[in-house]
Amino acid sequence: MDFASNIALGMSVAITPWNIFYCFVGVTLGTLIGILPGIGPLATMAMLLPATYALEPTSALIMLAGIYYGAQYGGSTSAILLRLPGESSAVVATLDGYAMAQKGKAGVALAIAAIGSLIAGTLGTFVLAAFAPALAKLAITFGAAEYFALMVVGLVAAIVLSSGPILKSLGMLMLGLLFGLVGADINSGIDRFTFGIPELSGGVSFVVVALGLFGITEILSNLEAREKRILVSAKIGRLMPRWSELRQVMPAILRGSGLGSLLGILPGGGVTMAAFASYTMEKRVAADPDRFGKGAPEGLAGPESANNAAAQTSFIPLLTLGIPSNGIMAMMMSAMLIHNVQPGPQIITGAPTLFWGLVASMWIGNLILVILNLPMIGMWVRLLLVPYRLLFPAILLFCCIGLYSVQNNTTDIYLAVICAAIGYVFYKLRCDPVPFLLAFIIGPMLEENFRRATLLSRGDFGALLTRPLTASLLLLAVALLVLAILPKIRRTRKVAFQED
Amino acid sequence: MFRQVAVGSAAIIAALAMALPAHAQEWRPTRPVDLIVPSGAGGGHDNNARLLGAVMEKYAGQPINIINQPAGGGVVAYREMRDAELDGHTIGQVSVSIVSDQFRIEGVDYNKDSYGYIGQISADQNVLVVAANGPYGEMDVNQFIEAAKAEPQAVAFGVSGNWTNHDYTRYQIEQATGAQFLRVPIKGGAQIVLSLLSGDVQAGALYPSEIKAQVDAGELKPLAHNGSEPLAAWPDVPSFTSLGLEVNLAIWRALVIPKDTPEDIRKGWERILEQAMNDPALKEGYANAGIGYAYRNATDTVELVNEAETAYRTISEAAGVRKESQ
Repeated sequence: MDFASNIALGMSVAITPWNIFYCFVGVTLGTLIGILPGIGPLATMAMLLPATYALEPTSALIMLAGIYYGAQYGGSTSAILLRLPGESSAVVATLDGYAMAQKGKAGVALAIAAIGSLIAGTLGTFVLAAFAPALAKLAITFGAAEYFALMVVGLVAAIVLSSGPILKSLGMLMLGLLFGLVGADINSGIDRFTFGIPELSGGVSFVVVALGLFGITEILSNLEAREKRILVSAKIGRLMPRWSELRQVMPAILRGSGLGSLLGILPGGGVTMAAFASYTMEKRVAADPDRFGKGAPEGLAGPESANNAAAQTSFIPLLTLGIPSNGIMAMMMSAMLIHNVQPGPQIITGAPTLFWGLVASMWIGNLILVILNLPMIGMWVRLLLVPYRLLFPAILLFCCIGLYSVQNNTTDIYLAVICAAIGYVFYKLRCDPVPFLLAFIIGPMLEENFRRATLLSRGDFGALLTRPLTASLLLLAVALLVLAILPKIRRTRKVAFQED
Repeated sequence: MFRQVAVGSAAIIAALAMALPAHAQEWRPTRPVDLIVPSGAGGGHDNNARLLGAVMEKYAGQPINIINQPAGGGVVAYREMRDAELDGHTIGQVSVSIVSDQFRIEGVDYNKDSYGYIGQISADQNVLVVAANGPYGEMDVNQFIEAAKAEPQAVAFGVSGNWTNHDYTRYQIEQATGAQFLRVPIKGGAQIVLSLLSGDVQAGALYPSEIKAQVDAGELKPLAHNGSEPLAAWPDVPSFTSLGLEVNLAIWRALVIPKDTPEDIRKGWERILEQAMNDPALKEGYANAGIGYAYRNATDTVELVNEAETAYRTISEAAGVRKESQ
């Protein structure tokens, strides 16, 4: 009964006109940037982060979350119609989705993707609503030592699951940790690496790093590529799938939802991972795997459901432990901190309207997305015609306004330019900046918890290993790292990420 | 009709103004005002400014924009307030930090003499709390202190960084009672509450708004506070002073303008603030947000600031605060 009353509370928050409005703005923007190749949800959220400053915390989070799962929908649209993944998790949709479009079944493919996403989104939301409170209750008993171990696992998972060579990811992770060291040391209050600039004693602002590394860098890298005008060649055709077609994909949708929900919860997991895993699974359970890649509806329905379910459940580690599991969640965490909402186990009991409102809004957002995407598909496709020479200057302008407004300080704009330059170097060296971002936000927490744990054990490092949960988590981290370096796994990993 | 009344009252005001030249020169802002706040959005400082700003607008006759400047832990904001234009259209909200920062942060170049004072706007107490289901959950404040004295360093005391306000309270308790705590720096009051609940730390000295939810839920137990008035939320909790212990560094907030601002402008703001502080809407807003209501006019505020500086200087020198952070 508790569950029902919680959902009812969430609905009462999410169904206020303003929150529906912000949810609508979020998913519309998400769909837009999902369709446009080049601008991902991470960059968009970074750009909008400062703009949420003036909103109520709940509305701000509802809007940002909407961008995230809206981008999943939009990304699949351009993947199916144009074979252009607007977003990394939509890469899988280019395989069978585009093949279906080639056969004149673009409308059906879009509908299957949308229906699968809605079902997965609903299931994912239920998993979130059902498991988060229990996990939070457990997390409240965690001390500094447990948190330290959890964060180590999170960081190791970020390396193992990121794309590209392990060594590069490790390097990015270390750089991120170093960046996180800037600012006043919590234990002594002494400034570290601030070069006497008082603006730095609170640390480099997350908005600065995120906008520099993702927002501005993304524009810079897009400027290099010649602008291509792509027109939709395939006819969209009939939208509603036949009953037999639905029956065929339903098991795939449910399998994908389950797998996605699970992978979303794991540290370092996320939507791209879930989509690839689901595709592999569908191919394995299919009677005739040969159809895959040639327009098999299951090959579209499974991954599309999986990435959406994972998008919902990846909120669980953030909302219950206060530990972001991927770049997007790091962004959500920063949005919460801007509004003085401390993510962690106390959110569910301390700010129930925010938590349940956010959860309920995800389901509403998924519903809006289906309505938004199916009948209006023609309009979205036309958006691909907006020239970047108009889009980019506008985005840069909003970035600058946003950067200034967070602290009412010009220093942040200069710092973001420096970060953009660094981000461009990363891009040129083909280094995935996500481990950097995660390490940057987790690093200071990791340090604080490590130092607190050793302070509380009166300087005894062994105390970290005598607590059973801490010891097993640290062991898991070591095992993950070792596994990732083993040659066999390395090859598999290479295959799994080759599409990126 | 309305117009006639308006013209009529304007005429009366004009006549009064000629009769009472002092009132005719009452200064009021002529364009929107910036109120600089040394913290980000959300949290005690910002809530206080937003509530007060909204009420002051009524009496100032101009919009008051809240400018959040959290950079450098407030150092940047305090400099900006000091160096603002002298035309009265930039005011600042300060806390006790304007007197304590110089003793604890390297390179701070402002102190109580850098500002002109408009008045005190609020006060908050630090409340000594323990976890209700922890080893000290059954004790009153005297029993707790005896237990802490019996075993030095056994009680882990959560503070939000060394020589923050929470930590000065910890130091005062130690000095007054002879107890010795294990000082554990934890970023922010919300995190200290979590550490209390998980059993990592056993005690803390937090603001009422930081612990209200957990005290009401029976998870934390308030033992004593460092204010001079009873706590609004828990009037039965004794103050340290009433127990004969010198633990009294409660925080306060005040409005300031740059030091050399003309006196008539400062007086104009003092009058606006007095009206706002007496507005029932403000008192209600404070109560809802858990902000401790306290008002003093400019003269009394200067006295408060002077006393605070002496207190912080004495304690910081005795504790060797500066030495520790070098």
